Amino acid sequence: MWVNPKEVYANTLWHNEKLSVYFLLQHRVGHGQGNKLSSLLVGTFDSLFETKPSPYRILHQTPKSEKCYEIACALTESDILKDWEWLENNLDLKIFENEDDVTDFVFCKIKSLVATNASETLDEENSESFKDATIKFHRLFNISRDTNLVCYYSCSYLKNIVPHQGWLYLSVDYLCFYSYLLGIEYKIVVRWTDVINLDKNTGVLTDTIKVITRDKREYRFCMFLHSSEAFDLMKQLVNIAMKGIINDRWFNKDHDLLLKANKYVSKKQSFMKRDLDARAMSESYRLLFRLPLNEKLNGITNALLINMYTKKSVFGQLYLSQNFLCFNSSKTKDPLNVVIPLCDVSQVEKIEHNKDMSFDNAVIITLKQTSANEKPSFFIFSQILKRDFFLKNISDLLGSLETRSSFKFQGTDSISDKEIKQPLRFIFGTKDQDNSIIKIKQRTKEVKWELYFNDHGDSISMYKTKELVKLVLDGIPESLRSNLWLKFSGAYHDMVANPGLYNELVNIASTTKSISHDEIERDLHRSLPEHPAFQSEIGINALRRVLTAYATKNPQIGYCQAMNIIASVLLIYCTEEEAFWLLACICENMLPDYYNNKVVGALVDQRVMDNLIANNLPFIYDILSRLGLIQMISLSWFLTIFLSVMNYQSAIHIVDWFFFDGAKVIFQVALSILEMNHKRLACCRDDGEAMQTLCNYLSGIYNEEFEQSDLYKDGDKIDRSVSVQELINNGYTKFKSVNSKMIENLRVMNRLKVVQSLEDGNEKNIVRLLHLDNYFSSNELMDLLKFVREEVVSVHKRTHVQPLKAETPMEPYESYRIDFHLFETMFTAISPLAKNSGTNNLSVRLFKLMDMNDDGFLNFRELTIALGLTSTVDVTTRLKILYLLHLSPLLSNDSLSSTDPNISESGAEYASDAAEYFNTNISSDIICESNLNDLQTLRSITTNWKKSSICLPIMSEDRFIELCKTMYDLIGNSTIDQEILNNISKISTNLLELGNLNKEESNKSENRNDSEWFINAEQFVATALTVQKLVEFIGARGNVLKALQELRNIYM
Amino acid sequence: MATRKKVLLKVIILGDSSVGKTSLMNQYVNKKFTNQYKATIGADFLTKEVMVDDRIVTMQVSKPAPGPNPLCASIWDTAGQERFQSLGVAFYRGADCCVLVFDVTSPGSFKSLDGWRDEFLIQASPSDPDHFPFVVLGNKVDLDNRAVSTKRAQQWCQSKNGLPYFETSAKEAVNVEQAFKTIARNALAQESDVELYNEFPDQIKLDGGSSDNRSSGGDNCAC
Repeated sequence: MWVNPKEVYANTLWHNEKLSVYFLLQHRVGHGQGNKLSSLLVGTFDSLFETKPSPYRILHQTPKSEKCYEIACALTESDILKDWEWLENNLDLKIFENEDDVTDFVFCKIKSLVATNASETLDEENSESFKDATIKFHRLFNISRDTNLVCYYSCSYLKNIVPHQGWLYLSVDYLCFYSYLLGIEYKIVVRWTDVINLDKNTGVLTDTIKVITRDKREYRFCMFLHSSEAFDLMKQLVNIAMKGIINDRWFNKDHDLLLKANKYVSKKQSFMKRDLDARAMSESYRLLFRLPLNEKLNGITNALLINMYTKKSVFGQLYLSQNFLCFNSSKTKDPLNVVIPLCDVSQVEKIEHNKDMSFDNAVIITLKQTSANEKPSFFIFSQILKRDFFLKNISDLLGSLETRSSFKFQGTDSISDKEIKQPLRFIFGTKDQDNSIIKIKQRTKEVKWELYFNDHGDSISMYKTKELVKLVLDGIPESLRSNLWLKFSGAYHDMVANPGLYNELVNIASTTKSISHDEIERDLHRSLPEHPAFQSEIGINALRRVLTAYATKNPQIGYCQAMNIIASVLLIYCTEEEAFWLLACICENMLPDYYNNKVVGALVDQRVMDNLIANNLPFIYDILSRLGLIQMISLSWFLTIFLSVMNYQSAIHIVDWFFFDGAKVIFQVALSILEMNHKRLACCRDDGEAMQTLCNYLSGIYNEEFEQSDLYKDGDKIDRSVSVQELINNGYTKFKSVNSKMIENLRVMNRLKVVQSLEDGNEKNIVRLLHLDNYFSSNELMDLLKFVREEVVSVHKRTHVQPLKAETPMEPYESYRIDFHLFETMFTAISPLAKNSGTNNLSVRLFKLMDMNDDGFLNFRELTIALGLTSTVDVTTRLKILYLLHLSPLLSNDSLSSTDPNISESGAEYASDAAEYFNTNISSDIICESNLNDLQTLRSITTNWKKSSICLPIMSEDRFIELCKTMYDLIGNSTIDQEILNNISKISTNLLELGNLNKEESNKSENRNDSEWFINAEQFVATALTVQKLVEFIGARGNVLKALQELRNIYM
Repeated sequence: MATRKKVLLKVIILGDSSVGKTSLMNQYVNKKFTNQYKATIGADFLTKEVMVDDRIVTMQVSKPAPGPNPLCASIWDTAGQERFQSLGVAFYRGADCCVLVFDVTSPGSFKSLDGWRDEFLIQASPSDPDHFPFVVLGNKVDLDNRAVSTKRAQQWCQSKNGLPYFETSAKEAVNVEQAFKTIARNALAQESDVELYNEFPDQIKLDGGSSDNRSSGGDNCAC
């Protein structure tokens, strides 16, 4: 039986049976030899290590290498001999020149054999046991059905030091644990959004996973069977939750995945787990090849790529996704990376019956001709596992590509005549460009690059090898910058996919006004003022177009300072459209969340940087923490890719490398800078001195190519410190261990901390601000906010709330938006004015009153005012609110016309009232203007309740009758107390008479006879206050903490 | 008497984007003005040795060196865009004085002062927030299109426990030196103990009578 190659130790427990140059057939010592001592010993070993190996195996080993790989095993001698014969007859390994190639080839071959033999045990849906677990999960924790269980693990919860064996359930929203042992039950429910720390300790006996929540509770779990799988999944889930908080975008199931027919995916897991795994894989795939954000991985297979330029073959992985075919070989000695956009592919063919072994199972992919006189380029992949399946997939994708492209966005081709179609460096030459020495240096570089292109191609599908890394580290020649930046960064793909979009955005931006535009305007002259291009309107206008177009494209980011500095440098080397797409790629792909409304990404990377300093330069970490500079030194370095801290001709080399190698570059350069300043930093006495030292050092960085020119900062000549080339090389060689995967990992853990600390700050701010309103105590506000947070997060997932734009300045409490449903729940639980069947009616009107911007949501402050005015203020104010809620237009005239009191009390009536209200929201023009004015008056009264001596409008008779009904409802349903009901009817009669008196009075004083019945608020309040029981009932202070706890008990 | 001494004062400059924070700092420290500043990202910073007036020097009798002591003021310039506010906590910590800057030609930047002050007090959380030394600067008085009157600015300062107010021009170096002198003095007062603080109550309070001192170039400070 063939097995996937794995490294083994050729230890003494095995005895060699057969031997060839590359293979070794072994037989386990002691097997089948009765009760000899060696046989017994081996038996003990096997049971100790729980390895019960098959007695026969075949190893692959090359003469020069120490390593052995097991490639086959069998229970009987005859089985293993069959495999051995197959190897001898079918593998001709003499054709390979070096041993690594032999190993690659053998691996590839064996893997394909394993894959063909693997039996396919598939079941269609989630397995039965998983369904059972899901049912149990929902039942145990009483969690709503739309929360999908992702996976469950057997583990122990550590209470103090006692482990309690049970099951850990992981869903998209919650981490849950249940154990029931010896009559003791443990039930734990934690929202991912409340997690502030997640940690795994690898112990001697077992790994422990530690979870800390916002309320500072700590949970420890251990005794996992697969602790790393569980931990990775937990990390992924918590990361999804954090990204949700950052971007207001919540997790949605990927329905495409359901339809996907993929034989390689094991269906033993839940659909959600597969979905999440697929996401994780797509993400690392996009990262590896710099592909657009929505690219989803279709499949991976092993293959050999035969390099048509060097005729060498390389073993690696072949990736296929909707729009790309990519190949990567990650061998450290000879890395290779190729990206082939499917839209460039003209045909895909099988190569059959080739005598050459290396062309087994091969496919040739031919690209479309770029120009008439050039030969079309092609790629040959061989040893493809399941070639037919691969071919079917790729032809499906190519087919759908054609249908998709016919719907392609057709941009307006009317190029705005203002657009600059060439890089600004052509229009505004600097004196360096005319310098002949510099010209020669540039030319030498260009020649080197041309040589590389000849051997490896120069299109988007060029072979990216280690020689390319060397070239990039030396810096890209000016003439090739825009082209290579686009191709290395992946911005090229988006640009090609959206022709004309830039022009369209420029046109839209030129006719609109926004805060972003004002912010951009302020910074246009403060971007790269030292360059002549930006001392002229031509450069300034180009920069304005690029930045406003981007703010239009992505309103969630809008404009963030630092983007101006990056964009201005891009414009020197690129056309406007290229600069635009590079900027978009940096903001969305390469430096994610860096420029959003809280610069979260940059904060996360500050912490990542701290981790890296602590791990790589512990002595510098000590210095920086002594100086109190942790988490702040590198902010501007990162936000501007060093462009704001050193002269741009030097920083541009870092940018070259950054576009090629991604975000890890800025970390490597930053570490390099700190390392080079070790001695200087050690001498600093305070943070200011250290900042100054680094600042001087950075301004002194120069570019070797411009050796003659002096450095200036603010008109002063500065001493040189180090050449940027040296800085980069130092970073590249000394901090090689800092790779993209490590950074992604660190980002996940630190994102958690940053998001939670921002949330903490935000919460404190809200409580501080709203405490001034004086409706609730800080504790109550905190609890209300916590409750809303929990609910809003789940509401977000159910209904899709449009994310707010970054540019509208917001008060912190505005980020919480409460819909009617949640408001009603809270109002009913907290306020005494809601303790009856008529609640619906009152809550709708109260909601309408408080929803100042008529968007169907209350913000958190509006919520607290609404609740405060009905449950914590003094009874006089509450009576006034009750009165106000019966005024027009809150209580519409339509609901008064119903003469039959039975109908108006029925639930149906209230429901229709609510429905009517939300309908009017959809088309708000239904509310006529005068009504709207009245509503605004009432709203301004409500918000200024405490400031002014308010004057409420008078009330008509029919409305007063409604008010009396409401009072009856309030009392009648809660206490069957005849006395109080009598009292209410008494005061109602009194007030009715008072209204008549008012009418006569006003007729008399104004000398007319058309006045109507009315009462005013003061009269109502004064009369109502005479009924002690009513005062007690309405004036009772709502117990917020208790009410919310009860609500939680119901919901959880 | 105060025996405590500190050679480093930390001054934070806050205010909306493009009101002239960087220019003010550079005018004070380097005596220079240029149109060529880039927008400040994160924070920028300069140090300057300042001489303090006799009274304060005599307070620090415990110092071994005779004569007036040079103080080193580190001035932290911050990014003005709102989204950078969340970074504050790292920079504000340990500040001795906070300078609030607005642009006299931009009413918006004046309105933002409240927000900047609140934000600073939350993030830096000084022990005595009501008496933390703020100094307010109305910059760009050299421009013609003035939109915030001296009176309005002074009223605001008065309402905040009488903050010292200066009208400056970083471009023409108007009032910059005087303003920073007050800043240094108030920062030092913050550093020393309460007794020292009480020695100069009149320097913190804005004298109500100074509102007639209207000329933009003149010293509008109440000190």
